[in-house]
Amino acid sequence: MDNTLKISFSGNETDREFAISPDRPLTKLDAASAKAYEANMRAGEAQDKGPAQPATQKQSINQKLFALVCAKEVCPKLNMIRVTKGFEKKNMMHPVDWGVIIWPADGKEYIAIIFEQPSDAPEKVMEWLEKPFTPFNDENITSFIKGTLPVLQKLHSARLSHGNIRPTNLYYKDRDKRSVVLGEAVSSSLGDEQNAIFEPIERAMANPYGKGKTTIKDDLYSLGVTAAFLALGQNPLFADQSLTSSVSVDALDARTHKHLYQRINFGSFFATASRIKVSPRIIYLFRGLLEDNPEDRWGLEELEAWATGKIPHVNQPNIHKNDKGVMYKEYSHTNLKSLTHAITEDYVDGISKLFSGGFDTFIKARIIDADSDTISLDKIVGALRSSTGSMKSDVHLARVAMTIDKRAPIRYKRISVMPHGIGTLTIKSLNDDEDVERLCEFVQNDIFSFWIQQDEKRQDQHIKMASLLKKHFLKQAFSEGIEKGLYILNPNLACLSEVLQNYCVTRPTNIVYKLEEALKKDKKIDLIDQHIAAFISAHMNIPQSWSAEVQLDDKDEKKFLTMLRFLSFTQETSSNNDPVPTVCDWFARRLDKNIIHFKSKDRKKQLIKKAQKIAKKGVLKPMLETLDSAEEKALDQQEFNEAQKKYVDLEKKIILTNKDQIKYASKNNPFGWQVANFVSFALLVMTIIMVMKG
Amino acid sequence: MYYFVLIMIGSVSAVFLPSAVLIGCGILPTIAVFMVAEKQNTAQGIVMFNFNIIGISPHLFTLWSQGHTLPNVINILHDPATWTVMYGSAFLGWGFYIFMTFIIHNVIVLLIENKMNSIKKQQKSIISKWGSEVKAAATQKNDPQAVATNGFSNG
Repeated sequence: MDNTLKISFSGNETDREFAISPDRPLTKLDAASAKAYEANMRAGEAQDKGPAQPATQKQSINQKLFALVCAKEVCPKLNMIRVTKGFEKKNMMHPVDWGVIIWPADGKEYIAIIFEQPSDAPEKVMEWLEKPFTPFNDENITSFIKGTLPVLQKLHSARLSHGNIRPTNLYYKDRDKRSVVLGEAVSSSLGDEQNAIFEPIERAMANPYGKGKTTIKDDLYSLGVTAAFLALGQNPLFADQSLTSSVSVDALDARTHKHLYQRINFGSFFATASRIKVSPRIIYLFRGLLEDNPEDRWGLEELEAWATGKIPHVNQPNIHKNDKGVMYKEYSHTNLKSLTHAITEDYVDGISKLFSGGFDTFIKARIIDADSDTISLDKIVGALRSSTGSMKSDVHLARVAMTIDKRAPIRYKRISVMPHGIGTLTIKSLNDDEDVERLCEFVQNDIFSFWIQQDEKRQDQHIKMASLLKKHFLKQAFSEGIEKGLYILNPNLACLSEVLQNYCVTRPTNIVYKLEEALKKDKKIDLIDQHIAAFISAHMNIPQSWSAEVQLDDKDEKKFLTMLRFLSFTQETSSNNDPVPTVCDWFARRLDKNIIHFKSKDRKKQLIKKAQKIAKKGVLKPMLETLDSAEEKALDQQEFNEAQKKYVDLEKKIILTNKDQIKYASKNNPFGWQVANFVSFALLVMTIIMVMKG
Repeated sequence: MYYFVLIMIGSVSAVFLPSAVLIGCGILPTIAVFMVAEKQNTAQGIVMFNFNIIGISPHLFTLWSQGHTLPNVINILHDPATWTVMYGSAFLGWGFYIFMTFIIHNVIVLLIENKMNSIKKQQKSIISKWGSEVKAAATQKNDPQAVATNGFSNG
C-alpha cells in the first residue's frame, strides 16, 4: 500500500509536488517543535518547470529530502521560508518549499516544510546538550566559522537572522565528520527551543517564549558559544563531569540559571569559555563573539576579518573589583544588574527587599562601581523613592528594574519579555487565564510605555506597538481583545479557533473555505467565534464600525450579523470563487433567531425567506445585502415609529375608556336615574293632560 | 328657607285643605322614601314622586269636579281603590327606577366593553406585527415611576 502523502505546495508559487512518508520518521532530523519524515519530489517534477518559475527555484535538488511537520501553534517563520527557500543550501539547511498537509493519523492539517537532508546518513554534532562528542580542533573550528560566515552574511543582507545556532542544530556533512552544516531556522518562531546558554544575557533573562526576534548580533553570540562547545567537545556547564546519558531538565535548568548569574557578574566570556584550552586565535574569537555589550561584540565584518587571519579589536574582560558582592538568593551579586534580576525573579520577596528601609543606602555602600558609566545611582534612588501612594508595589518594582538595567527585558511579576517577544509570549499565555490576566495588567499598568520613555531611541521603534497593545488588549469587544492583539503581533500564526482545530489557516481569505470543510464534517460547530473574528479583523482592513458596538458578552444575535459580514468580506476578497453552500446554510438556518434588527415581523419573514433562497447559491454577500439593506432598515424604522405612535394613542384611549367605565358603569350612574326621571315626568304630564281632558 | 317653605306649604294647605288632605295621604310612600333614602340619592324619590302624583291626580280632579270639600275627600278616601291606585303607582315608580337603572347600567357596560375590546384588538394586531418592543414607548409614558426617575416628578 502506498502510504505516502502527495502534497501540492503553494500552487501559485512553485507548482511542485512532494510526497511525505508518515511511516518513515527521521528522528535524527527532528527539530525542537517539529517531527521529521522522509520526503521526495514527485516523479517528473524534479526537472526544471520552465520559464514560469523564478530563477531561484530552478536549482536542481540533488540531495535526499525530508519534511518537518510543525504544529500550527509554533508559528513557523513563513516569511523567512518564502525568502530563504531559494538560498544556497551548502552550509545551511534552508527550506526547499512548504505547504499545508493533512496528516493521516489524526486528519488534522499541519504545516510541512521540505528540506534537503544534510547527508545520506544524517547525524547531529551533539544529540543533546549534555552529551559529549569528539572535540573540534582549531582548524575545524575555523572551517566551521568560515562556512557559517557567508550564511549569516546572506541572511543579514535579507534582513534576517538564524536564531537557532547551537551544536544540537549542527549536522555533519560527511562521514569523516570534518565539516558541518547549520540546521534549519524556520520551523518555529517561539524561540523557546534555544537554550539560554546560547543567548546573550538580556535574551537569556527573558521568559523562553518572550525573547522575540533575533538579530545578527544575537546569532554571532550563539556562534561564539557553539564554537566553545565544539572546542570543548561538550557542554561547558558540565565540563567537570563526564556524562554518558542526558541529565534531568531541572538539573540543566539549575546549571543554566547559575551560569546566567555568573555571566551577569563576571561576563559571558569569563563564565563560558575562559577555561577552554585552545589557541590564542580561538580565544580571541570567543572574546569577540561573547562580548556582552552588543555594540562592542564582533559584527560580521570583524568575523570576516578574523576568518582571513586578522585579529580585530576585543575589549578587555571587565572583572569587578568587589568580587565578594552582595549575597541574595544563593548568589553573590557584584553589580546592580545581577541583584535587580534576582529581585525581579522572585518579585514577591523582591518587593519587600527593595522597599525595606535603607535599601538605597545599602546599594550605595556595597556596590561601588556598579556599571557607573551607564547607571546613575542618583537616578536609581530617585526611582526607588518616586512611588506615589496609588502606585502598586509590583509596578514600582518593574519601573525601578527598568531604570537600573536598561538593556534587560521588561520585567513585571512573572513576565520577563523583550519588546519583540510580547507576541510570542501572548501565544503561550492564551492557554492560561492567569497568564492572560497578567499580560493585560502589564498593558494596563503602562509598563511597556514606561520602558519606552526610558530611552528616546525607543520612541520611533516601539511607540506604535505600545498604542497597539493598549488599543486591542484591553478592548473587550467581539473581534477585539487579546485575540486580535495576538494575530497582529504574530502575523504568521494560524487561526487558533477551536472550530478550526483540525485546520491550519494562515490566510484570512482561506478561512471561509476551511469553515465550509469543517461544517461538512460537523454541522453542530458554532461559527460565532471570537478567534475567527479576531483573526479576520487583524489580517484584513475591516471597518471599525462593523464590530464597534458588539460587546464580548453580548448575545449571539448581535455577533451573528457581524460574523456574517466578516465571512462575506473574506469570501469576496478571496481569489477563489468557489461557493460555500454549507456556511451559507449554517447562517440561513439561524436567521430566524438571530436577525433582530428588523422590527416588522412580516418584513423579517419576507427577507429571511429571500435570504434563505439566496443562500442556496453559496455566496454570502448577496445574502448579507438582503439582510442588511439600509433602505429596508430605514423603512422598517419609520413604520415602527408610526406603529409605536398608534399604540400610544390606543393606550390613551384605554385610559379614557377606563375613566368612562368608572363614571358610567357603576350602578349609581347618572344616566339611569336621569332617564327614569325623565320618563316618569313625561308620564306625569301625559296623565295630567289626559285627566284634564276628561 | 326651609322654614319659609314649610310656612308656605302650611298656608297653602290651610287654604286648600281638602286637596292637601288627599295629597298628604297619597304622597306618604314618597315621603317615606325621601326620609329613608340617603341625602345624595334623591333620584329614586323623585321618580317615585312623579309616579305617586300620577296615581293621585285622577282623584284630585274628581275632588275638584265633585266639590272641594272635606266630606268629599273623606268619601274618596273611603274607597280602597283610591289607596290602591295612589300607593300602587308609587310602588310602580319605585320598581321603574330600579328597572331603568339596571337596564341603563348594563347597556353602558356593554358599550364600554365593546369599545375596550376593539382597542385591545387593535393593540394586539400591532404587537403581532411589530413585537412587544412597540409597547416600550407607551409603557414609558404611562409609568409614573419612570417619569420620577427621569427627574421630572412633581414632588
